[in-house]
Amino acid sequence: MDPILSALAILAGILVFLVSGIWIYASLILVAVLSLMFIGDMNFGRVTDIFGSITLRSSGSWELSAIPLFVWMGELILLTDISSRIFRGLAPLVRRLPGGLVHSNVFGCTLFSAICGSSAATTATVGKITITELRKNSYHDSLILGSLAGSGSLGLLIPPSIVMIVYGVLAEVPVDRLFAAGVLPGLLLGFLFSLYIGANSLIRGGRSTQAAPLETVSEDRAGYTLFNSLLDLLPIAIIIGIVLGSIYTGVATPSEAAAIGTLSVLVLTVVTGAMNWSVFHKSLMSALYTSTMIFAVVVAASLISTALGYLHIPINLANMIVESNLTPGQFILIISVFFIFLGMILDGISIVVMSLPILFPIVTAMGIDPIWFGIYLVIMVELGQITPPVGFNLMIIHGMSGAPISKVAVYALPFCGLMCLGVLILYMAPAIVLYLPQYLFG
Amino acid sequence: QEFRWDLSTEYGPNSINTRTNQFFAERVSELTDGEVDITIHPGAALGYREKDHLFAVSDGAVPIATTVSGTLAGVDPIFLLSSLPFLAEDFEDVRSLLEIARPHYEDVFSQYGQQLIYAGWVDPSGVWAQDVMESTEDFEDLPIRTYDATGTRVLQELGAAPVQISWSDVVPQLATGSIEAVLTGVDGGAASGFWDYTDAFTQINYAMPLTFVHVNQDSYDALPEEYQQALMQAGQEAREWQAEQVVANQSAKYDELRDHGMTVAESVSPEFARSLSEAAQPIIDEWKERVGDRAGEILNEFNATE
Amino acid sequence: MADPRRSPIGMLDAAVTRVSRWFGYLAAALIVYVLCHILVEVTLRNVFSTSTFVLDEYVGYALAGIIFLSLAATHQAGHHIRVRLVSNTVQGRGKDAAELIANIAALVVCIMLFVSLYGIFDRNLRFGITSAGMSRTPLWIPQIAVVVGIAWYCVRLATNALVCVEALVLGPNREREPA
Ligand code: NA
Ligand code: NA
Repeated sequence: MDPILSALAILAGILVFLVSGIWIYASLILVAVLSLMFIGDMNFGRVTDIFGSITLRSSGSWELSAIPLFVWMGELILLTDISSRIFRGLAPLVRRLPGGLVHSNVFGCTLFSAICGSSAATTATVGKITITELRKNSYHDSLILGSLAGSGSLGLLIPPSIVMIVYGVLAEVPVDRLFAAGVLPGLLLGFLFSLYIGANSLIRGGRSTQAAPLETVSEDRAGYTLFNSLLDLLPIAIIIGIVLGSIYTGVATPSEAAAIGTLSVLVLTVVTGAMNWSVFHKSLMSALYTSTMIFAVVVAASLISTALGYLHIPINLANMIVESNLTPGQFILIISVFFIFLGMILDGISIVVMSLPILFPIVTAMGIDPIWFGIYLVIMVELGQITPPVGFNLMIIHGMSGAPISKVAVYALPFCGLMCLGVLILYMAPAIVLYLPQYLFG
Repeated sequence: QEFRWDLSTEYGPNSINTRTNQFFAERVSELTDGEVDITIHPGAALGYREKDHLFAVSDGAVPIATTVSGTLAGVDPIFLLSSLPFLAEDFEDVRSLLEIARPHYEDVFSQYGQQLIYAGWVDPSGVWAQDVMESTEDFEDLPIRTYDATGTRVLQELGAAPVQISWSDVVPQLATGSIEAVLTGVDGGAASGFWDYTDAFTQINYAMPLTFVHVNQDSYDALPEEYQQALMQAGQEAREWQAEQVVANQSAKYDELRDHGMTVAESVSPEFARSLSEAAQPIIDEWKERVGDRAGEILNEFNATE
Repeated sequence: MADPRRSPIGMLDAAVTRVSRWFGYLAAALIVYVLCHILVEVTLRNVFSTSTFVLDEYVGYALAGIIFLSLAATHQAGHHIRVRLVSNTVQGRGKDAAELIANIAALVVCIMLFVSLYGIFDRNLRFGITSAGMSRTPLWIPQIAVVVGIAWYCVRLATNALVCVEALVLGPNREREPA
């Protein structure tokens, strides 16, 4: 069967199951089974054999250990006053910008992503506080939720980052160089998002209702100075310091940093007296449910990825690309379309694992810098997190805000555009990616 | 095509193992007029890790796979033979050990419903460190990264402080000085640019692990006899091709290391080699005990050919 | 009409919910274990120049345990994600029917996974397969959590399906806890 046709059939199958209200993990697994049986012509017994070991493998991989810990850390930060402090500390700094408090999404995510390797956890932690506060301040959902979806993506681009670790392993690129390479592009995207928020509110007014109360957060804090602001940002700064410090002194490996971060937040909550049994219990169970939800979809995505592999779809698509004699620019353009398509049905690590073995030889053959390609890939993966029908960040925002996924996806669209613009800028000026690793490691 | 097989391997697309798989697949295709078509899925693209391969092939979930010997140790300790330290001193030793042990390997594979096609080897592991390793004292308290249980035991025996961290964490840990040395082949270290963090490579010929290419018995039996022979012949040729590649690659990599300003010690003094072997002896003895009679047979025959 | 919570199916549902929660606590304890093991490893490496040598292996077992043991608890807490297009538009019996279909679809998937995972567990037990690492752990031991977890999730989904059937039979004029 033609690879493009098969891929479209699989996408259509996923859509049908999703819309009928079947849980996403179950929809993905059903489609994986059916596609192997009907496109791949395998009998049910063989499909069962295949999926048993893949399920076991993907559910027990060490790289995933960071996820429950990062999420738990996020939940703890959420249940204590650290996250409201972040918001309180950032509010006076961003209030005067056009777009006002919406910028706290961008700044909050930038800060938080410096200790968190997953964009889902970044979105959830920052969103849980900002969505309520920004709605109180009558900003329109399109701006609140859209900017959150976009900014949450910085969680993977600004180090530490789970996807960069996976890419580094597969492409044999040093992880610390990748981490360094992610910093400036992350800040660039954050800057683009802020620019858009500002421009949008200058043009459209930003607020949804006419009689918006003035910044409610700052109402009762006359005399709140820059010093207070910095004081409120101190806890997050300490945690960032400890996590980054542990990585850059070598005390912990990047994949162990989540544990160091969680420990430091636990200590902080105990020291500040915010810890009690209820906080511990609630944060832990919440982390458990969120990570099990993520794992269930990751495992299901790995089954889809295996099914695609057996159907030779990625290989055939890659061969179609190779045979067409492209320039690097055209190549990046075409695989961007390919990644956007993959990102619609797959998630993060699956995209990298599935496409890299095929694409990487082409990338090196074309003379594209592997570090640059890694950063590009992370942005494409991020894009997949906020495109329907399967987009983690969309689902998380849907869960927190109650807004329908379709609406959240539309709100996120301008930020998808900004990410593509970011990729274009990085293509024109690769130095933004390559300068920092060059400067730090020679 | 008549027969379409998917080959699962965890090795990356540019590794010697995968390139040998490609050579093998091409030869099979030539020898069978394109009737047997093998698609390579490198980098664990099908989702299987090496640990899963034995059962995946046994079930027919994947018809053919490439698996490094050590990951099969949990199935049968015989597979630790090729990772026993300082047993094989050169590629000729590896070849004769493989030939002696091959019937035993085949037995285990056939017990799990599959056929061994060929086994290839890669370059031996050495030590990447700040200085050339000249005696066992240089191992004293050295924080060094190893990749398996045997390596950990041997290095503990030598007085080093071995750590097992994942490969992705090796470079950050080297860069920050949390580990000072890495036990791995010249190929693997070069791929990760270890010359940025270490100054010397010592080829201690630690061990030369085998990788097996094994195929599901039913898939194999379904082939006409001439194709079965073609498969075995292609496997034989692939092994010889890999052996040549490994030798050529090793000297090319030594040059590359020197170009990056590293000191390369291509061999160690006989006294040092002897003391390394002594340190490894308890591990070899323990292995013999676990494996039983087969181990004695293999080692006796091997020592007789020396 | 009888109180659904007093009906046999209602009581079964309540019992399954309670047991699912216990498995959830077990999974939560495994998260704490993962945290502790990594911290011990970091301490051993930095302070004592040694290691537990089994970090990635044991954390991997624990992760698989976390996922499978908490599937049912996560399900009944409403955390597994889905698109609510249908359930938001249909009412009454239509809603129950949609719920029934979704639960049966998930049940089919999970029974398939149970069969294949049990097969792996059984084979590792029969052939005495151990891990290739330092610990040589028999692989079936950590896989108990996986098999029990997926089996219990099947029970959870089957009970949900029964609850839906009961609701379809009893009709819309009663309140029911969402599963
Ligand atoms: Na991050
Ligand atoms: Na998506």
